[in-house]
Amino acid sequence: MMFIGGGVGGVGQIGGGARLVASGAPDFSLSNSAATTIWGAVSIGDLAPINAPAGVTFRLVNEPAGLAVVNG
Amino acid sequence: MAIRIATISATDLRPASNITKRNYATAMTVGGTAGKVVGWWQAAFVRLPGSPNFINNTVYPLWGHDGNNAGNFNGGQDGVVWIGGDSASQGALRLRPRRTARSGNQNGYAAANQDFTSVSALTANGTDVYLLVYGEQNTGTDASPVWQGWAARVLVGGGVSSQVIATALASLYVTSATGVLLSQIFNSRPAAGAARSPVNLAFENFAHVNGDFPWDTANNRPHHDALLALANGTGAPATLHSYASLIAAQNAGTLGYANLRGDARADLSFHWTLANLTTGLANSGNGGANALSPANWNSLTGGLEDVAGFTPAHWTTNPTITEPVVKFHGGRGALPYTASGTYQAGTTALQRRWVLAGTSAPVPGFDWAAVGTFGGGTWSTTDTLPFGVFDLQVRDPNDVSRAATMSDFLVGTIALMHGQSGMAGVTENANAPKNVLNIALSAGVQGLYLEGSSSDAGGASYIKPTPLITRMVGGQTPAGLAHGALLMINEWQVHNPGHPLLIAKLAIGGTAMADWAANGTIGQWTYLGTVGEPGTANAGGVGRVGHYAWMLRGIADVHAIMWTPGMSSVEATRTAYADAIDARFTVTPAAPWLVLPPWRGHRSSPDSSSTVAKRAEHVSFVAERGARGILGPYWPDIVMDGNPIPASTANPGSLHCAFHSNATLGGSGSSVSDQNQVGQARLGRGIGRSLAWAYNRTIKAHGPRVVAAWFRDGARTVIEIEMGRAVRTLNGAGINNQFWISTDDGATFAKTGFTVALDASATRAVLTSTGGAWPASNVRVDYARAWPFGPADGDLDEALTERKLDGLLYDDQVHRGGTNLAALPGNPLTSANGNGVAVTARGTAKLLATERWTGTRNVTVRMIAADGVTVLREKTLVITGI
Repeated sequence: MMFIGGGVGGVGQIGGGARLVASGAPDFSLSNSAATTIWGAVSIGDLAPINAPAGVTFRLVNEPAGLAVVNG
Repeated sequence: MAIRIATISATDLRPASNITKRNYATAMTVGGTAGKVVGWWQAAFVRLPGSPNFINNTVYPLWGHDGNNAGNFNGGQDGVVWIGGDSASQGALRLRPRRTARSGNQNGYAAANQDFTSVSALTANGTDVYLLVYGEQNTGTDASPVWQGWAARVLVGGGVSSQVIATALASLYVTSATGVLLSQIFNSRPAAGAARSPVNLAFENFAHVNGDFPWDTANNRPHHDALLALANGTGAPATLHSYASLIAAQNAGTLGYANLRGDARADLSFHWTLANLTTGLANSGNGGANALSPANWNSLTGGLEDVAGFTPAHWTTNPTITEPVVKFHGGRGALPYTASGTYQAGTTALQRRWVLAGTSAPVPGFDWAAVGTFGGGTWSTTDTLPFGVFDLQVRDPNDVSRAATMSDFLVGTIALMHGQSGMAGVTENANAPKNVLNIALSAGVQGLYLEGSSSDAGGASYIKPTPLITRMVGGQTPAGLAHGALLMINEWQVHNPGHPLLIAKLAIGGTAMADWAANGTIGQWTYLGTVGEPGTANAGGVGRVGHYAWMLRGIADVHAIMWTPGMSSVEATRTAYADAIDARFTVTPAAPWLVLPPWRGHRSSPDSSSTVAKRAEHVSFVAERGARGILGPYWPDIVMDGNPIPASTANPGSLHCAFHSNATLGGSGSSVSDQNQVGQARLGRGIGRSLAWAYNRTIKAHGPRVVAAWFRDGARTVIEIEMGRAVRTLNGAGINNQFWISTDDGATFAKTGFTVALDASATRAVLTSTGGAWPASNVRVDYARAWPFGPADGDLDEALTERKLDGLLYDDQVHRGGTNLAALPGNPLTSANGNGVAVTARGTAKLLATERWTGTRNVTVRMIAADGVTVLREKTLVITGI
């Protein structure tokens, strides 16, 4: 038996005990990907869930310097 | 090349076998002539240090034998050549030789110490070079010997002076054969408190000669023509000599001096060139292999260092390489360096190559090739080397014996440290004792520490400044540097492995930026002045900055600045200062300014230096520098040196970081300890990280700060605060709550009524009310409005509250914090600091840039379900900073 691409797969485990849902399900978008940076906080873009349940939050992985998520 | 003391009480040079005294009454064959009844002489080219290393009320041992290793040279077989300090208690001894001569427990002279008070005083200024000679010889005949001790000095390029002690040496001393004439060059074994060779004492071309020096029978003294011939002094005879050629001519009877005792003979038994610590320790004399070896003491290493040579040029036919005052070239491997020198008659051509230091492996692209210019006795080569540590070699390709080497030349990054005592105190050497925490340099560290002697030119009378230049090499534990400097370069090394760093302390205590910008007078010179080498008699218009620019060849790769309280409040003055620096460091006009704004000039908020205005001036300075301005982490100078003691509200501190190490000077129960590395150590590490960060923004140097705050949900019992960094406490300590909440729009703040925790990412603080909901409006948060230390808040004694520091929030990788700054252009935050950051209803999730950067960065974003665990989607996005 084969799974059809894009179908709902199993829930995976990733580091730290978090579970990773197979790709193809919920998604999100970033409204913009560039900004004129300053010595201060400046918005790059909004993070908008797509096909996601209510209450989702956003986090950065590996914490790159000079970027952050708020309200997420 | 020559060798100098870089760290006191660390290292000296020891021959494989001691040189023991003979029974001088016994005839021997010397210089090819049998039946000679002769003594001995020793000589070296000597450069005495200037202030502050040569000022004590004492005498300094140069070379000899210290039988009991205590530095007092009073053992039964001891002998030593000393030099009186320039403030020695016996005025007649000042800067003149002294000899202690003992063999078989018999003093050679009438007194234990013989002072040569008729010898003209030397100059201790770190510049003048002397040939210093001491001898005990037969001034009579082989049949009727007369034994006299003598000393002489010749200023290279100057005059000669000598003294012969009229009273003959004691006969029992002459015949005793147990005294030791040399077991050490320099004296570094004793610890503090004993007579030791001072820092910056340097020797080159040391000789021990069996036999008698050419003697002037008319004046009964060592022949001044011979002394001048060695040192190329004024009035020198036409024929100049090295030790070898002088002795050869003496033995051959061809010296031709007037009134010369014709039958004196000698043998150059031991000659160590001391050209450097690798090739200058072999004996080139006739006494057999008896190489010198560095001997380390007091658990220290690396106390000796190669320096530019100073023996007169006529000693060699080799080309010369003119060594710069600072053998460090900035520019981070991207700026050309021009080396130059001279060559002697008979040299047909010259090639140069750069090799990895201490090896014969050429730097790729810099193997043997013709020098750039060659003619008229001078040559030059211009090369752009990568960062690293190298040796420069030059040779005549048609006679490769004509060669020269400049060793240990560094190419890397030059950091210029600006400010006053707060900045200076992190690295400077005025705070004795040094390296009280016994910090070792990490493997791979390569660097230099440069500290101009502001006190020299700043004193009541002019003394030519003699900068302290100290090499830093991984694995060493330098005793002569502040541990703040050592931890700074260790931290740099973490991010820049093998990339040399030069730390140049430009800052001077008690000075204000406005005075520098106006080129005001400080002591006997000015702050800015012209670029050049200060003169011997006066500065000649050269200023402090001009001197640094000259030494560093106009290169400063990064300017680091924290200036409290002397940062100017006037934009024009701040700009004038920056422009004045640029006008002198002309090779690097785009060097970044890394500004470290002080959060608290002192632990107490009432202190004038902890005001918003003082921080705002620093932030303004960043903004005014445009693209060159980099806002560094705040200056968390929390633990001070305790002065004045006790600290009080009215007298809240010195602004100087703690640097002492123990209970006596500041341990438990005292407020001046850095034993937990929270004072100078913390600042040193933090600046080292920040300097690296200035060039690589993926290295994190900022600490926690309130980027934004919002209520988690409509219940308003939880506030989430984004800090822009993963943070942590130290040593597993619980969070010492330093978050403050206002419910009246910033009029008043308190840090009660809630708990604090970090979320799983450690980038967010979560404040949970222990009461009801917070109001929907007029709620603001702030961080560290006042530190948990006295006198305004908490315990008076910092040492008793030191562990509270562990509970503060630190950047995940560095022991530094960072928080709100005034709302000014360039401010990383939006808070006006006085009233914190507004807590808002949770809005749309946004991705923010939290600092200035350009180019592209990849960021991986996870969308997480409401359970806080399930990752619904993870994507890596490319973000462009403009």
